[in-house]
Amino acid sequence: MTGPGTPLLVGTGLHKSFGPTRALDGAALSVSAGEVLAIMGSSGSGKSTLLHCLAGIVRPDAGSIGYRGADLVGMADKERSALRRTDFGFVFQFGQLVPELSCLENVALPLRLTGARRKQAEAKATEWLARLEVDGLAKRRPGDVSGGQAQRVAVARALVTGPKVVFADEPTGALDSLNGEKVMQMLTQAARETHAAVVLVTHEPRVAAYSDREVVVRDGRTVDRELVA
Amino acid sequence: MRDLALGLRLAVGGGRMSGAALLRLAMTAFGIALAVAVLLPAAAVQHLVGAQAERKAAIAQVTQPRAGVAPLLVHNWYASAGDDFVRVAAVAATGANSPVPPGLSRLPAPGELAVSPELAAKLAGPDSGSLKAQLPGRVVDRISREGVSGAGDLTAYYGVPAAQIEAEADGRKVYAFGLPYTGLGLSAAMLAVIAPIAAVLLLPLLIFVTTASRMGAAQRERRLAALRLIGLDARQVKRVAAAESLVGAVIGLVAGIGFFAVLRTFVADILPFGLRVFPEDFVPSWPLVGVIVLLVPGLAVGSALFGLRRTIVEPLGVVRQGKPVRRRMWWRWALTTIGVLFLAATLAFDRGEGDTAAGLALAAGSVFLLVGVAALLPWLVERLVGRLHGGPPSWQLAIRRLQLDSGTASRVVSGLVVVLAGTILTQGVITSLSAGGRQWRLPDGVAAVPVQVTTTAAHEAEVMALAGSVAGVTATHPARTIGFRSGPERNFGVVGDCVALKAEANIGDCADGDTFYVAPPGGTAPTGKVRLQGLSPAGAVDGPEWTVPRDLEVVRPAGTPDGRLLITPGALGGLTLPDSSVRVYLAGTGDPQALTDSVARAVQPLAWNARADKSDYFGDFDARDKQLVESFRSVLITALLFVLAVAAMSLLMLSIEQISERRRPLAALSAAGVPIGVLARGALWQTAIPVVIGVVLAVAAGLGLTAPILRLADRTMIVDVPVLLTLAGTTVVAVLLVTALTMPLLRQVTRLDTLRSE
Repeated sequence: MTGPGTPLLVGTGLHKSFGPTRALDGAALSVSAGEVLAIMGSSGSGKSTLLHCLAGIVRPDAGSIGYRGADLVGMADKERSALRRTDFGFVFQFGQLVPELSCLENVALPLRLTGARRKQAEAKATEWLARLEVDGLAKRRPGDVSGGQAQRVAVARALVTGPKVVFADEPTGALDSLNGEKVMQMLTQAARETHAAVVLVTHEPRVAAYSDREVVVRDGRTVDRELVA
Repeated sequence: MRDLALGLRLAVGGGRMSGAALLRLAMTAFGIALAVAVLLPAAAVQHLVGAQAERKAAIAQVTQPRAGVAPLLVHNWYASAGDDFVRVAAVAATGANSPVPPGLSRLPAPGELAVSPELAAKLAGPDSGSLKAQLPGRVVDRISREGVSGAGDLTAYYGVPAAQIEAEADGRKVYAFGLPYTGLGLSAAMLAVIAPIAAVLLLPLLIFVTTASRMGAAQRERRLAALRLIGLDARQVKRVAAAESLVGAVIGLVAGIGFFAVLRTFVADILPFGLRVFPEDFVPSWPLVGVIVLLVPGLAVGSALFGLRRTIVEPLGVVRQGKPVRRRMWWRWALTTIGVLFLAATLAFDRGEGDTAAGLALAAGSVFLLVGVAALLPWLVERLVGRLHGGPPSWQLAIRRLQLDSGTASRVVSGLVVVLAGTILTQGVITSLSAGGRQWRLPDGVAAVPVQVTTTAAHEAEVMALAGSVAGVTATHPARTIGFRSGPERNFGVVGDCVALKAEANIGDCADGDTFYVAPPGGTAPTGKVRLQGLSPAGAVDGPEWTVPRDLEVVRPAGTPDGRLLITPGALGGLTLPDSSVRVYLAGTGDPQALTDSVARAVQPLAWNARADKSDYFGDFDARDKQLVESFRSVLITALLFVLAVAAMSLLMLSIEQISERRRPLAALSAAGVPIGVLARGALWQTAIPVVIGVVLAVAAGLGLTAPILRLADRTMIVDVPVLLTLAGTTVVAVLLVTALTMPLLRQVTRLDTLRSE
């Protein structure tokens, strides 16, 4: 059991290069259960690569990532995929919903992939759509809804499986400020209600303000900066 | 022009083409090349047939006397070996200015043969023994192209003394060669048959070209929007798009023409069914070439512009006109209904009554129904997938995608359906007809007399002597063909010993003095006095009267031409028969073909007056029929595989396009832990569903159309299971292959860099 304040996800000495470009150069970071952590930095600083490494999407060249005592770096691709399905949730900047599925089906999809029956999955998805105030869009396709609405559907999809960590990469980057605020409010509120940690990549201080703690990435290295309440 | 030049430059990308652009260019060029390679031979057919008809007119024999011309004496006959029939013209000049047939520099002297190119090739082949045995004389000359109608003609001119032809009643005097060529009229009926077939064959290519030219549409639209931003107006942008498509079209056109040029060189060796053509005849008509050169690239350009018809390219991006396109159903239903009505009309005809009207109704009905079914397919797929729900996530991804847009995939499959159904129909008809094609069966007695020589009464003794002396021949049994006239009524029959008669029909026990009547169903045997008639090429010659015996035995053997009298010599009571055609049956030992060849060589000096054949001639026919059916099946399967390959390539392009367009959601799903297998299975179902619906529809339509045709032909329907299994297997392989080929792209789009949003 991992309680509040206990590190849930810990990355140390992370190195990752893409050809001659060094994206991570000894980055280190830890996230506690229920914590909302913002990773900030300028464009090309390596913040998205750090998120991808922590989420097990890419394997770092060097360093270690521990998740609830397990070594993420040493896991096979299949195990990491399974972990992402069951324990992690994702929200990206845009275009992450499957265009041919309805909003309800998009939210139900992660549950279906973990073996849930369709009706059961859709019932839970409906609950989450209602929680994010987009239940009226259940039957509509992503192409028929606004950017802010689509992003709330994406948040519902990220949280529907009850993940331990939600990774959000520039979740409001394609939204206007009003919609961005609303999405962030709902994301952090829902995460807190479910005790999920949120790892948020952003370069906007306004978005980072929703976090408990900020980490700045500069030239592939992390600088921890505790927020002053 | 400047816009066109810009479009051309963008199409080739200044040497830095993206993978999608290169693929689009390659696929467009390939599709156009295929279309051109199919159209050019089609455009050459008219010239090919015309050239043959023109030469046929040029070698026609003119028998109207011409003043001052010493006629050429000609006697035509056929020599055969196996399934080769050689038209031999015995020729003899009557004067110095006797006409020389076209293709010859001089007339062959007595005993000399001039042979057509195809005959010369056959005689030079390894299995030419039987053919050589059948042809008299020695080959000294070859007929040039001007002297034969088609490259596959088996013809020969054989020099003989004039007296030999003058002795023949059916010899002819030829004063000149060549009739005016009146041209090759392509009747409206012919066009009505050819046009839909051409349309059906071109449909898959058409779809392929249009799909290819619309590949990478999203990327192109972004590029066009960028051009709008720097100041190009809407019309200019369309011209740029047209020029981009033109590049692939022109490359394809050049490749297609090149392919045709190569094909033309080898055309003589690659045609099926033993068909032969002179490459010189295989020339497309220039006006049609002009049409193809303009039309095919025009098609690629047109389809690219058609794809943009509902798209407004603005400087800041692309706007689509949101009006949903309503599928017009009336013409689809009209085509299908007309087809059904035509087919229903054939029910008014009785079984086996395949006359012209029924045949036309059937042909028209089949074509209408085939095209109608293909036109209905998009609607049917839409309806069917609209009802599908549930299933695992991969299935859900596929059906939702198809529910969103199944039109393009259905159109791709439509072409396949038409060709597939047409193939099943043709194959079913051929298989069923060939299985029940021959109603006759050879009598059991044929085995005892493996060789027969057909001759005239005048040469009967000579044939008996020559053939009887051949090593391996143990006995000769002449059978004379006789007519029996009683007032206006006329019957035919054969006079011969029991061995000969048993080779004519299964008559059971036989002794000299017996007479048999091979009765047709419901037929009654002739009675009373009849006049015997000798039958020969010169006509019928009356002989003495004969009374049909009262103890005539009526037999009804299966599979024998009926209504004939079979008479042993003892039953004629010593009457002298009039001169008539004689079939001399030869009993013997050893291989029937080798014995036939030996006998043919022995009677060779008698030329057309004695023709040796195997008595079991059906065996050769059966082998030829079987070979023809096999060739036909190979051609159909090849055509089918070709169409399937084209359809598969179209589906592949479609899949690539769709994956490219959805790279972000796919990458997001993959990041969220969705196994690539789920996405791959989604792609597999997405390709498989329209194809399976199409194939099921095609099989149903193909078999459904075969039934009324065979009903009119009064034949039992035989389903060619191997062809259907080949079809099903190939379809499955094609779908799997298309999915497998999309996997690299799927892996690529689910990689990390697709997720980067900065």
